[in-house]
Amino acid sequence: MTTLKDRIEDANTRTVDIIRQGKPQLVDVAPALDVLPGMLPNLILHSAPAIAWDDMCGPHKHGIIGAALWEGLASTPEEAEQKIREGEILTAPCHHHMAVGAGAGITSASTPMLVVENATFGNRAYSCISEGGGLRLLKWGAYDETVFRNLTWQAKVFAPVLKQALKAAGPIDIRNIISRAVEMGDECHNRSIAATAQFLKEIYGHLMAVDMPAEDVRASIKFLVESEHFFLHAIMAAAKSMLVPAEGIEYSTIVTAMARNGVEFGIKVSGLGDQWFIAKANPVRGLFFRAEWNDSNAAPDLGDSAITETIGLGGFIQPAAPTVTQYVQATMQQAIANTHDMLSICHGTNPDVRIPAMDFAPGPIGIDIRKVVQTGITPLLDTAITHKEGGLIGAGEVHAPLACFELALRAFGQSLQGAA
Amino acid sequence: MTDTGNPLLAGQPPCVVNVGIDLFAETLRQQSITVVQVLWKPPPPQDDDLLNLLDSLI
Repeated sequence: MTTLKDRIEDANTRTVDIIRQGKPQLVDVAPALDVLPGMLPNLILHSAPAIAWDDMCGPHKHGIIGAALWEGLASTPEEAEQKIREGEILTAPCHHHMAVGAGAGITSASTPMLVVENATFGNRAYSCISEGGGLRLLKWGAYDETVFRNLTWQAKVFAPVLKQALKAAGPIDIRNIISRAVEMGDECHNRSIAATAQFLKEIYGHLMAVDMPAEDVRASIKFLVESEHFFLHAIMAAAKSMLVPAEGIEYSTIVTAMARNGVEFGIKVSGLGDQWFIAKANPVRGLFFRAEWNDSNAAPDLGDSAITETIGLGGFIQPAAPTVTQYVQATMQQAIANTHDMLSICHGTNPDVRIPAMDFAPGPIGIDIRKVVQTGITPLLDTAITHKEGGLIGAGEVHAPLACFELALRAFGQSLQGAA
Repeated sequence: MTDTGNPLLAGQPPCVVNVGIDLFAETLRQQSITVVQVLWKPPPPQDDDLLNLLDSLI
């Protein structure tokens, strides 16, 4: 006789197998309006969970106003805010449109999106392209004329160049890039320089052959070379594309999304459908990039980039990226202990992600809400620190709040009663 | 080493096992004392309903 515990174990194994079987490939770049399901000209997306305008953190509010100005939906910040309040400009989480956005996650109709296809299951997921390096970017909830000029250049010049190069290159295997990058010192969240370098190696020849003005091609290559986090956004879309086929599996207690909006932290669970389980976001502990900044300046945990931890990257494999531990003045021993903690709350391991500093042990994958609640150990995320009024001010790590896992577990228990 | 009258501290330098908060271990290390740090955190407080539910699920 199959017990409830057996059913859950079987469902969880199936869920994790689906995630592991995913073959995410970067296939295209296109404006959000052209590719995102349900995207509208007057819709501005942000990092999840959903949140009302008045409750949003500073980076979200500033980022959304910035996007409204850049899109020409409003001429002044005051007009933008009024149109948002009147419903003329709409807002929604990226996740609700099959996308993920780093930081504030600001994505509007003209934003160029990386298009990632999971070749195993045929589904697609998306992420805005990286705006490059710098402390003041729209994704950090900061805007000015320089930010707008860069966004316009990306949309009108860089994206078409990259699109043509990708067309010539054919699908870029992101899973393979992640595997190699982890062996080269990336944990693929706070550090993605090795992944970006590999992407450059694959795309460089095709960029050189793009039939567009030479100055545009040169500027595009220069931008890519100077953007060491560029590939993070592709990895995020890849993670989303791997997790979507694992949603909706009856009896599964595996987490299929984690995201933070600077106020709240939300998770989704495979066996519990589309519902988000939400708790207050924690403050991020880490290194501030300037002496003038400290904890009092920082917004709480922010961004959809926790999708990388949801597939077992980032904070789950800190020992792969010793340099990242420096943000929190930690040691390799602590980083290894953290990975052991994450192993204790996951259903399995991922043979595609091997950690050199742990004798090439496979990384954890498949967060099980039962184990989180049982142990009190919550997912550890590597992440950026955003100023509460917008702008990047540091980097560090943060634990997910336990309360959202407890809420999900209670809902799971109730769903079983409903099914009985 | 100062004679404290404690037989555990007489003769040989102590070897300490510290459980939990690593600040204590770090303080001893700064005094050149060997410390083995055991990572441990107290389990979170949970209500009976949640514990009963967990028993049925895992």
